[in-house]
Amino acid sequence: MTQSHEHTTIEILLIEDNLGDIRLFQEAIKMSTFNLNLSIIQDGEQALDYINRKPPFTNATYPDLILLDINLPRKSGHEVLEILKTHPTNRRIPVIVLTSSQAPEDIQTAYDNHANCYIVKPVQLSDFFQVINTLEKFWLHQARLPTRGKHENQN
Amino acid sequence: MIEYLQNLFNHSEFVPRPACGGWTNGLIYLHNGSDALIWLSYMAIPIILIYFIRKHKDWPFKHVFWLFGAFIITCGFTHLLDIFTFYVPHYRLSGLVKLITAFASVGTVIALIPIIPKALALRSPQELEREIEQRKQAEAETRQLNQELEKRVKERTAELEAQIAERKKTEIQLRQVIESVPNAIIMSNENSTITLVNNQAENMFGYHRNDLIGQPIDILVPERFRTQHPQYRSGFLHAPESRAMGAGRDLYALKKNGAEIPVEIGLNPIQTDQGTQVLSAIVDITERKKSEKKLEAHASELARSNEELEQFAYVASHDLLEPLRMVSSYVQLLEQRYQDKLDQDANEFIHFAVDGATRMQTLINDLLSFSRVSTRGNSFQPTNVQDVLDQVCTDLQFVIADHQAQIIYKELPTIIADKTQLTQVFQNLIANAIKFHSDEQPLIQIDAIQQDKNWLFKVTDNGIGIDPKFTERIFVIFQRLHTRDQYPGTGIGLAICKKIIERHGGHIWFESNHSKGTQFLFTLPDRSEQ
Repeated sequence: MTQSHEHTTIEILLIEDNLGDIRLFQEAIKMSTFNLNLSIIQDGEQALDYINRKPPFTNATYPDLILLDINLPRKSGHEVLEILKTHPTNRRIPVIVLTSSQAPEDIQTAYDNHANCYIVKPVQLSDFFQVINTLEKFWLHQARLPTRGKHENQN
Repeated sequence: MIEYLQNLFNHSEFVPRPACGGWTNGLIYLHNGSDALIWLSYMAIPIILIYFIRKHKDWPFKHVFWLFGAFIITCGFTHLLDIFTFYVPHYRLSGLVKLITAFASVGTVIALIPIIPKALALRSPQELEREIEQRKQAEAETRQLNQELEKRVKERTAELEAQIAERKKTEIQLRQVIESVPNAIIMSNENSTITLVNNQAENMFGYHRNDLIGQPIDILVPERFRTQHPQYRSGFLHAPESRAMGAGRDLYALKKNGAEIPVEIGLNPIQTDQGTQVLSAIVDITERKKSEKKLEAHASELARSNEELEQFAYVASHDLLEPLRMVSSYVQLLEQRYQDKLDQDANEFIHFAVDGATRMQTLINDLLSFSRVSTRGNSFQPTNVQDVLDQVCTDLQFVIADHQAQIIYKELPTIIADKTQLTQVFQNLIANAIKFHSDEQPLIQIDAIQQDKNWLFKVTDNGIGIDPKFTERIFVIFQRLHTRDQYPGTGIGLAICKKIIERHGGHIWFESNHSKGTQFLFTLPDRSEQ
């Protein structure tokens, strides 16, 4: 409890096209003790527009943490990651790659593109919930996040 | 003298002999009879001599015989005249005849003197006979020699004839060989002139041999190669040795009708009296080229479909994971949320659904790893096997500690391999050795033996062993020898090992003395020389 995230809202951007996973994620954070605001984008290009507050996302909230799938329509997670991590300020946002792929190439590419961590979606529901719980504990509780960037949320 | 001759027949001054002295008839007969006999004999002797000489025309000193003849005849006449003068005393005539006889005698003596040495030189009949005998003997010897010689000549001739026949036979056989070999054969001399052509060459090129023999060999070389050809030819004649023509080049030959055919040519230098000739054995490889092309097409098609299949397996299994995870997750969510509201059966059903989904995920992951061996393999690099095993022991440290397993290895070589995959092989083999341990403390030994062209690796354990009847089955994907309750696992490990070893060009097998443990052996080609 070194941080006061419990009192402020943590902005989480979930970039995921699979409705089943979105729902599972929503179920998982229902149990969270944190004050989380979950935004969901289902395609790679839109995700970048969202982060850059391009239309139609001019009122979008700037994310504190990004959960990124790899298999995405239009722009893959790898491309989104590469663009984010080469951006002067967006690169600060911790990006957790959460995907079903356990291919070594995917893992390698993700870290090459400066992913903050790479997690394979567990098949077991309990494991899945545990992963989300661990992520919360680590990123929102133990780790310190950078100050919000230029698109700082007004909430 | 004239007076003497006038008085020759005058005997008036002489008294006939019987008129004086005491001549008895007996004495008269003795004288006159003897004289008559002498005269007759003296007349006969020259006749015999003349006869003899006429018969022996080659007899030497003929004139002496004539002289002898004359001398004897004249002597004869003196005796005849002695009888005559006995009764009629013609002493003058008798004297004249005696004078003539004297001349003939002296002449004969004079003629004889120079002849004597020559006559002495003449061989006696005995000598001649001896000589003749010798000659006869020599002749006989010569004849015998001749016969011997003739016999030898005959023998030698027969021998030579046999040899010639043999050679002819050999030549015919050779000719038959040349005509019956499946290759076209053309011989050319140092001036590139064709000197020999066989049947197959006629068929291949569409020429009659008479149209080829004596022609330059270039008649069979496509125009575009003719400029380089002499250069290659002189190169060959410079260092003649049996070899294939045009290593690394595609060779073509020109037929009479102008068509080109792909060929393969074997060159053989042949030393003859006319210098070095080049014997070319030519094979029409049109069909082979065709089938090669077909094979290549097939192979690339196969490689493509294989790659497609592996890609498919990879992508499919990857994409299968996604919905599978949904099934499994939501069934579990159902279980969590509605546990209290469902009956025992429902819970059991949910359990099987979840279990099935979990296993399917494992299988798909295994399938992914399996297809990754060939689709996602790394290049072969120098790999220190000692390091690989250190890594494997680190990765398996918990399992090793749990079973108090002892892993023994030392002085393992550096080989050329995909390090990740080699690690995977040892990891699977060692993990298996620990998993299938016996009651004893697991003892696993890894050895490497350098063979002719390979490295042979042995992973020996003291585990439960494997029945040799499972030799084939054990390396097949998803084949298991135990139930999941006995030993967990999907049966992928050894299949992956086999695929990795085969990707490296080696092979893997095992030897097991049931109950005394198992020894897995695999070879990896020694690429260090390359």
